[in-house]
Amino acid sequence: MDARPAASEPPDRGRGADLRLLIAWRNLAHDRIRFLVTLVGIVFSVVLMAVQSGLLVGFVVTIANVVENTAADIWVVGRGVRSVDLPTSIPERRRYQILSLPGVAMVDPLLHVFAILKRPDGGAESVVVVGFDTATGIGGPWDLIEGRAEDLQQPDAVILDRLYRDKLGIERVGQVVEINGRRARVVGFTDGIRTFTQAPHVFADIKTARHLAGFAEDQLNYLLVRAVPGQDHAALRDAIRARVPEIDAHSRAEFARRSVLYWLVTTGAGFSLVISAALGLVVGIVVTAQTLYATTIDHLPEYATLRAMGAPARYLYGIILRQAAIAAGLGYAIGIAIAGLVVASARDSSAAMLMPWPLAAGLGAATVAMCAAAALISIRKVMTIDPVSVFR
Amino acid sequence: MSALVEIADASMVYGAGEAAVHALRGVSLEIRRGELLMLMGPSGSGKTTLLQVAGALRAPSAGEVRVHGQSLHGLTQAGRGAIRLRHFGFVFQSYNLFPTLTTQENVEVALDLRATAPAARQRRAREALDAVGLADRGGAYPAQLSGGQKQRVAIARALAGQPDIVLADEPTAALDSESGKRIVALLVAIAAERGRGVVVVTHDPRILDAADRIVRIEDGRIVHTETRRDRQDTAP
Ligand SMILES: Nc1ncnc2c1ncn2[C@@H]1O[C@H](COP(=O)(O)OP(=O)(O)OP(=O)(O)O)[C@@H](O)[C@H]1O
Ligand SMILES: [Mg+2]
Repeated sequence: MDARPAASEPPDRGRGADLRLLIAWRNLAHDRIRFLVTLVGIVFSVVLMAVQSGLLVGFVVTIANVVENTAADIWVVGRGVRSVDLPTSIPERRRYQILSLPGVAMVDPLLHVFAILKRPDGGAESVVVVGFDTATGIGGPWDLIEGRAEDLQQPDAVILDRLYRDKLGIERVGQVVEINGRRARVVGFTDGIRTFTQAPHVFADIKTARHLAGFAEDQLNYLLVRAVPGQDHAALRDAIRARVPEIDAHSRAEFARRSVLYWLVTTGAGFSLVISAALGLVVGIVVTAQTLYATTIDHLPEYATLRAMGAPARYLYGIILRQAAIAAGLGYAIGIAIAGLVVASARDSSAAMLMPWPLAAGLGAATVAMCAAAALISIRKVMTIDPVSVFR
Repeated sequence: MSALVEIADASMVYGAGEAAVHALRGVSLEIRRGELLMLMGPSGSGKTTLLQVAGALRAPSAGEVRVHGQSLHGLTQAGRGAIRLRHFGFVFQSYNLFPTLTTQENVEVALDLRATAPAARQRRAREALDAVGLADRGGAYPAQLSGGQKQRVAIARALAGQPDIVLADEPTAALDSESGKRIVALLVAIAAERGRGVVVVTHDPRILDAADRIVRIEDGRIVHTETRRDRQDTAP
């Protein structure tokens, strides 16, 4: 063979730098229908996993949102309370007992009570009235898009979330509504404070809230404790538990987790979401494994030829893994785009579906793992090819 | 000069008991540098089996195979693969090209297997295609080529890795005589290069004339060996 001068080479930089990637792509593209089936399987799987886990994340965030968005270090709750939505009453004197403990900076009361809101058209909806101390603002609304939290110092003032305007028949600030037969006036709206119990939150000053709920002056459900700077929260929580009777004390994160677990476990919502997501994964693995395997079988003579030529095993499964990676990459890209559309369209619905980037990244990892698992039977197959089968 | 491949008293038995087939019965053979060795014999006589044993594709049931003096005895599948990759180029009767790759890419595969960098891989594949007279068909797919052209691509692929032993099993059997002629010429040229050894299983009489040595095998035994010198001596 005479060597040609390199200078006469046409420039084809980049083309097929990774030859196995090219082989993998051609193998897949060779049978377009099958490749389409593979992609549909992966996309279906990604979307199913994304929707289910997005709902799960949405539930978790929704259940815990009042706890997570309250600037309290420790939640003092009635003994045995398992979720923020299901409080019991606490005697007000506990507040002063806690205030007297060393390391406590502030203790704010919080009222959290179900009530009936009468729609302008006469229908009734249950709501949760959240009464907080407007002087400190602890336990108050966040993400306001209209009005200010201070407006709640006006008599009868309440703030609701815009997501529930239709449900509650409320159109604008200034509108008067009836809660438990008493008059309340909407002074603002929040944006995206969802409720897991389907009873929307109605924020009010604690005095207004007690009035609306028909409660006594000293009634409260939670005590929100803030520690002095430098105080260890766990130690303070333990001290409160030890020194104050008939209550439980939890750090903010603990109470949020406790509430989330309660709902996800008792309602089975968590379980069914996780099962559906797992099902998506299984369907994806099965469809992908099936079609990848069929592709491998189609190209067995080529794998045998490679074996005969002396290709090391890793060269062969390198091709199959590249096929899996191409399928995973394309399937994930399409799937996550569709999931993104679903998330966007659910933005104004009362059921939150969230797709934070770690979840999206996790789904990407799941897709890659799914396709790698699907590649296993194909890899097994090519490993058993007899290289002499090409000599006939 | 040492032999490229030495086969010593190799036997090959397929199956066992009643159904056992003795494909090779104590075959000893050397493949030497710069030699075009022709292997002939009736169907079922063991030619392909011998080629597989010589090419480190199959371990013989008994006997010894050495490549460049290294015994293949006890090598794993992967170990034999590494030997094939390093020393052998194969040409098959049915070409065995990748239908989804262009001729250029088909040849590149042989170099990619040997971890050749992309630029060198592309250049050397072009050179190999040029050497078999297909420089202008690099972009064609196997389905667009004639049988003879396909076999030339297969030869380019076998040569691209610069093996020192080329084994071809009936490379011209599926070709018309005109295409076959070209393949024969190529194989002859290949054997003349750089001390390479070429073994061709064939019934093609044109190789007969060019062969340095003709080995005839029947029923798993070498029954006749004839060198070029033997023929020249007996020539009138
Ligand atoms: N994998 C195998 N399993 C069992 N028997 C085999 C196998 N391969 C070959 N044989 C048998 O071994 C004997 C020799 O076969 P081989 O393929 O080496 O012959 P050959 O000379 O190449 O024949 P042909 O000219 O038809 O290609 C035959 O009887 C064949 O049937
Ligand atoms: Mg044969």
